[in-house]
Amino acid sequence: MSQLAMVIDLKRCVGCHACAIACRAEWGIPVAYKRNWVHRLGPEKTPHGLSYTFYPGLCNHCDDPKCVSVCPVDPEERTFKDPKTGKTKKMAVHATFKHPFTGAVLIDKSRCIGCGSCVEACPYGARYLNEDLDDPKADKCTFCVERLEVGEQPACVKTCITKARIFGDLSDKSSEVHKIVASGKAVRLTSKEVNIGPNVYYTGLKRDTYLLIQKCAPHERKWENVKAPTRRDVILAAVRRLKTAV
Amino acid sequence: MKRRRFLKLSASACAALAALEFQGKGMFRPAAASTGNAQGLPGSLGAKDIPSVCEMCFWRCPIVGKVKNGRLVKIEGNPKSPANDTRVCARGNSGVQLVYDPDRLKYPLKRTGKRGEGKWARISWEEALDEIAHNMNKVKDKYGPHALAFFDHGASAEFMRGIFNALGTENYTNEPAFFQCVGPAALAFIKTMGYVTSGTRQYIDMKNAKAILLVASHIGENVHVSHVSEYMEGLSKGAKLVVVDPRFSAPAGKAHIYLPIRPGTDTALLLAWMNFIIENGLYDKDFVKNHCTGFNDVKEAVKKCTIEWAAPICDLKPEEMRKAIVMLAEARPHVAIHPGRHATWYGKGDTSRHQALGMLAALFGAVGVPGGLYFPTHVKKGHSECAECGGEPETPDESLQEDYYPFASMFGSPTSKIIEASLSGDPYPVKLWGINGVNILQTIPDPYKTMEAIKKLDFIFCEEILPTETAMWSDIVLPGATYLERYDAVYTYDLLTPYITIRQPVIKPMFEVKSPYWIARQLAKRLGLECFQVKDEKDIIEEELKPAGLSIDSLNKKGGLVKFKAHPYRKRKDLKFKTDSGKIALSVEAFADEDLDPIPKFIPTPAPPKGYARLIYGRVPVHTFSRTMNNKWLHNEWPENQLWLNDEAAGKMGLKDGDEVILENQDGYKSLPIKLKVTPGIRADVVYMAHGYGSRSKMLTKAFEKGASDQFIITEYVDDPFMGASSHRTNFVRIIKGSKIIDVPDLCPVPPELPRFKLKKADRVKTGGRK
Amino acid sequence: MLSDFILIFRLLASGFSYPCKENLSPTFFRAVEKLAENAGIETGGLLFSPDELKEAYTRLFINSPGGIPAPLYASVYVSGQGLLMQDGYGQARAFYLRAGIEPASEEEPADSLPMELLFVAILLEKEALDLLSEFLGEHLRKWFQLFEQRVQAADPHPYYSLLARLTLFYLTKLNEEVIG
Repeated sequence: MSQLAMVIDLKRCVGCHACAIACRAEWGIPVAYKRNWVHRLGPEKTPHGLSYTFYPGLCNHCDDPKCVSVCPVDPEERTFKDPKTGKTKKMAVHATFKHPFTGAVLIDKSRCIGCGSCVEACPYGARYLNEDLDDPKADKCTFCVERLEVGEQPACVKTCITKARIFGDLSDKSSEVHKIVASGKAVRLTSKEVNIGPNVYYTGLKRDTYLLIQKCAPHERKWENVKAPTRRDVILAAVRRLKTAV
Repeated sequence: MKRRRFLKLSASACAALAALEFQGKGMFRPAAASTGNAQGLPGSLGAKDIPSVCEMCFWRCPIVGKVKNGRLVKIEGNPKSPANDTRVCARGNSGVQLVYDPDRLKYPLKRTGKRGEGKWARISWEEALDEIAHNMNKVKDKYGPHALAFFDHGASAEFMRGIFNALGTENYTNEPAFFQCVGPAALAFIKTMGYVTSGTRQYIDMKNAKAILLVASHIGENVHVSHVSEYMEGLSKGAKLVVVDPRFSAPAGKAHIYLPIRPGTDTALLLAWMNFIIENGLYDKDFVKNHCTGFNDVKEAVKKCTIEWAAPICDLKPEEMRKAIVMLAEARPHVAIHPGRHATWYGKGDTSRHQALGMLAALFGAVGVPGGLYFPTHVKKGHSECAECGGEPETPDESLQEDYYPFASMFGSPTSKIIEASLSGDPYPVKLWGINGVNILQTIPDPYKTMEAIKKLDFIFCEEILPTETAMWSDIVLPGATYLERYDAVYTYDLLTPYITIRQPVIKPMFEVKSPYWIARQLAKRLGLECFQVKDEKDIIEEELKPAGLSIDSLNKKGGLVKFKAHPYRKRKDLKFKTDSGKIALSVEAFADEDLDPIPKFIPTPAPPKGYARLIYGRVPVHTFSRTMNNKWLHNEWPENQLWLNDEAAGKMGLKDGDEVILENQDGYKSLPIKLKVTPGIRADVVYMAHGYGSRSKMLTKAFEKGASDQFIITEYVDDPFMGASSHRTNFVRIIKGSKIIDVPDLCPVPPELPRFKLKKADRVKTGGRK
Repeated sequence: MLSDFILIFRLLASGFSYPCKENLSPTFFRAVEKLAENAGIETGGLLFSPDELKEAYTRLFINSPGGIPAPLYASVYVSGQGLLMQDGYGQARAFYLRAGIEPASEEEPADSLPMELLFVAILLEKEALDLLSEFLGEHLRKWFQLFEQRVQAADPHPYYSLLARLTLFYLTKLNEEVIG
């Protein structure tokens, strides 16, 4: 199975925010929300010296996506296609699911009921509920699978002015991402409490990856506190969808 | 569809209505056959790519505008461009938000209230241009041509500048780009190297450098795509990085050696380093012997400038200073001594500091070689004489330029002199200002003085895209077309990856905005000036493309851009400089001729008075000065600036991260509220904030009073004695929390060589500004 | 009668265009007064100088301190992004195309209030009531409410306060009486 993944090189990142805005521009994300962000960390003391670095963040397309397991929408069978081989596979999935061939965590907007469970569950804050819509839907980074389909790079990768973002298929041994991850030099935002297999990796100076993990690795198992929406909420959401459809 | 009741309108109402002729005739027309659209594909996919040139900053990266159904949906880098490829920065990505900002200027406006009050009425272009022409003539007739002054910035100002020039004023160009930014650096390098090593561009080959020196250059915080990416290429190939900065900046975070220097002492460090490499034979003897003049004088002049002499002045550790210079020296000649850009720091000594940077590069032989300073590659383009306007103004009896600063006239009239003359009428009255593409109140020190000067003018007009502070003070405001809505000019790039490209409209101009050439041409007509014969920019571009064997059409067929081979380096035997001697001038005689130091000396700038910290400032990568503050996306990324305060100082002051404070400067001016960022990454004798925030223009809905403006607490300035630029880092602040003024603790001992700034007597402290 | 509404919406379209001497005849003000009367609003006589209205119009809709309280373009209200030329613009254009027309000039965004009010009159002239019903329900009435609130909240000149109120009144009336 393939797994799309990204490595962000903090040695190259200058914290310019081009990625965040290219994403917003590409997908028309209202300013109240974000799929992609840059936070500044430091200058702060670390055991490895003073660090001033950045947290360029996005959905981690986790191996064990908790956002998927909390989705209350009844699974429905769908046919998935391997973009590489054309092979297909049938699988019953919730309104949000992990693509069996690419490993991208995606949202089926037509089935999303906008309950916000997945938004609450994500330990990285990578999802939002777009309440600008008459019928609110969850949304987040898709690794730009729509663009990949037509041979384009993800918008954030294409605009990155220092080529700090490396994108590819982790299962492909010749890929740059595989090589970096296999070298053991990359770190992920995980902790003792939260380790759900994120597929965004970071490389950088010791002081910088130290500060990144110190400040940004999640510790709260947020998905355990998600209250499943009541039957009533689910029905109300369905009615709301019906209304907007009409 | 039911039709039950109809409106009951009285007969008289019907009669009244029927008697009216309504506007709106011709608002619609029958629809042309619906053009195919790219619906179905999400995002920017399937959009039409129109090549053009960015103007979110002056670096002007080649871009493509992605257009769907006449709407600009996205901007990307032009994939043909060898400089930036598909890449654009945060600002480049946000151009969409500039054209579609509902607060943009839409029609000519005329002031209806008091100056600065912001009351307007929309007027026609006819009326606006007539009014401007009438006032220009009136002022010129009454006070003479020099009473007209033009503040400008960038390509869009060129044509209007021509008009002021043609009317005969010596004050036809006063660019904050020089007098508040790069002027001293440009002058230093012209005289040392014979070309503008640092002006709009910096000819510094960081990409192939084995070591890089940045003296307060904040690459990454200030973003020009090809510049940043070459710097990153160099680093990733293993270049060593030395950063000299009072603040632990973004590049400091990547540095191998970081030197937290005391502000104002950079020249002391550079002199000590020069002495060190001369004493220790770490300079390029061959290069110096064959390609430089004045070496012996320099050797003599820096003799006393030992590392031990400089260390307490710079407040640096001698061993770190040595380690850094050895690291740089070992990489010679492939060492990138960055020439800097924004140079107007302390007034006295600014030109000398950049001269010293050039000298250090020369001593390393790091000129005309990979990894060093290099030469521009001239890309051939034509020139449309018929699109010109101008003349040779007569020099007034007492000139604001050469009678004050010997090298000012290379750049225009110093802004500080124009403002002073407007206020005092001395040496002659200045009564009318034109302003183009520059927000002078957020750019020139002491904006309060600028406002007083504006009040004294007979007339002031500006050409702008957004309603800036300056627009609020103008009598007539002309709405300019954005870079995405106009033909402009041929752009050639003469750095490591030369190319030729053009700016052309990506979308049609909105509202009644007009291009700078159209505006200037219409105004020239009214002034009876015989110029601007060419119909429009398109014709100018065609003329300029001819020598390259190109036309707009043929260029567009090639993706809007054609590349050329670069010639940045020279064999040593072919080295020739456009200086008097044909060599690099380590000692500049032209300076000596004007009784200025031919070789840099360390001139101390006053240290902070007790209880105060020096205010320094810089850039955030998501903004171009104050220009982009109202851009929705950019604003959203970084809505307000923070005040960096040293953690130890903050501890002693009882302040913590996130506290909201107000700054009060040495003249009693107060800032808007700003939140603290408490960090070990800044010296205790300075505070830092990003420039451009804290807009005072209520017309900018998003930017208004967001964060604090450095500019409004920069009221003390010192002019550069060489060319008249005004300093920005000569201001000191105390911190106010709640109603309590908290003194900044004196944690950085000041050696006797550095006098402290003397506060004015209390009764002379201004009480203006914001309370 | 449909023709009443046609006149009314032409008048309102004119009212929201930039004021000029030619359009501000005593007859015009009298017509507005009558419309107000009909809507149960006592105006006590309208007569404003063009200069006064120009300043008021500029402040509310073009450029002003504090930002323009009420941009005249649907896009600003529809997309949630507060920007010109977004979804609201696309919607307006699509409606025009369905009626077989398009804006004669592209200078002014196609979703400007005067243009949309004029479009109402045109649809009434064409008796294209189904399309009108959609246009009002899915587009104009939706954003006009937000626009009207923003006008009234901005300490508006009484004339523009009245025009906004009247427009809201007649849009509602039109919806009730013609669309039903």
